[in-house]
Amino acid sequence: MKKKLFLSGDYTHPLFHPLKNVDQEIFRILGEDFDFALNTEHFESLEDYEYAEFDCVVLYNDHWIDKSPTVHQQVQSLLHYVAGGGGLVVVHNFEPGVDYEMAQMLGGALKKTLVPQNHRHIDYVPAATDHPIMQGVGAFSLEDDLFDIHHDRLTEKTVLLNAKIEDDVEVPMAWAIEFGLGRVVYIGPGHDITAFTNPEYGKLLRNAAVWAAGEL
Amino acid sequence: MKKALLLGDRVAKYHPVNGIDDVLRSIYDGVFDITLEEDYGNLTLGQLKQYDLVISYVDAWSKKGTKAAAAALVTYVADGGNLIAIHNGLIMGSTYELALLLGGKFTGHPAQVLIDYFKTDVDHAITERMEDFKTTEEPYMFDFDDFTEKEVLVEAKYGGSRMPAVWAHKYGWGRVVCVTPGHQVESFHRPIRKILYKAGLWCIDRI
Repeated sequence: MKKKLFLSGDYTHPLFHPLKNVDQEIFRILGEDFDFALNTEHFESLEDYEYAEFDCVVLYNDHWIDKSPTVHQQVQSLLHYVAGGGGLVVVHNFEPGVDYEMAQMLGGALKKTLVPQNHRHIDYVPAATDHPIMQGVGAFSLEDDLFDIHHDRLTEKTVLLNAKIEDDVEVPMAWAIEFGLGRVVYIGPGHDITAFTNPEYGKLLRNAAVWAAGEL
Repeated sequence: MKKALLLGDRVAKYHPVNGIDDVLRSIYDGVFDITLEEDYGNLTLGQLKQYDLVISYVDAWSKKGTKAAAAALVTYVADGGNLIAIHNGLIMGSTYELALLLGGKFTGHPAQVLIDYFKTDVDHAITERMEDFKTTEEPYMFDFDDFTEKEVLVEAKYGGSRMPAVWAHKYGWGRVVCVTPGHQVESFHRPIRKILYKAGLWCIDRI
């Protein structure tokens, strides 16, 4: 039986990252394992008991900041959901980290928000190759955003993927966190549809969602 | 009358809750009815939800603490519950989710020494009209989280520098107050009693 998944992103007023078209690739990548039980950009008022119906929540929202004054409810809902055993995958858009409790749970926050990020060619190199999420995932390259991230030193994270930015300089760009009884994955690459059509990226996203849902 | 759950250990290596519980009952007389819980490794959200406030004075978190209890505490506060952690109660930050909740991870302390405590210039109900004081205490030290939006209300002067000694913040819909003095019954001088009393009132939105 397939697991239940909630996907959220911005269709109507994205800042830089529309969910339109990307959603079709996410359906393709995750469709074998998940039923898409809810797909909405209107998540501001979701309560923890509503999240509890889902085995995995995938967020691709880049409009979090504008909604932030009204989405503080989401801090409580998502903390409750994940600490209680839920699975959360945040793809590319790190804006949920503007709320500090979310930044802690996600392992960090963008140093600069509401600005176009450093878009460039990036080589992604697997880090924790023994982690279940990284099984079968090889190195890949994309034209994508290189986020400047302020990491939370106290959050215990396993780095899954590094972005190689110079010959001898690598920075974490995907990681897994066990928070309370639940699981969180952040996947840095994913600026546009190009990432989602990359086979290695597809494996990474699929494994991440399945792991977050407690299956790997 | 509001209800508070006190987490502590009657028999403890360093900080038994015996005597401290009586001090806390006298501080919160008429405000909180206090129940002691020693089996805090098996805390559940359902249990915590019965209380308006949780006071941590745990001594044996490293032995008795569990990930499930930490998850219950995080969820309880995120949902609108309140937590006051006193002195050794702060050591439960050895479980990282609770370090995030408390705003820092306890890293250790030098021996007891006479410490000057200063009210900071933060305008806060908990330290309104508080006067600076000095007392013999253990200088508790922390690796503070960069993200916690805490307000440092009292600082301790130690070794030429000042470090946070009392801080408060909101977490989700709930409230957290951390109070580093409180090593033993004798630690609960009048200034600290007042801080704890007001912290309790602030948690339940009475001040």
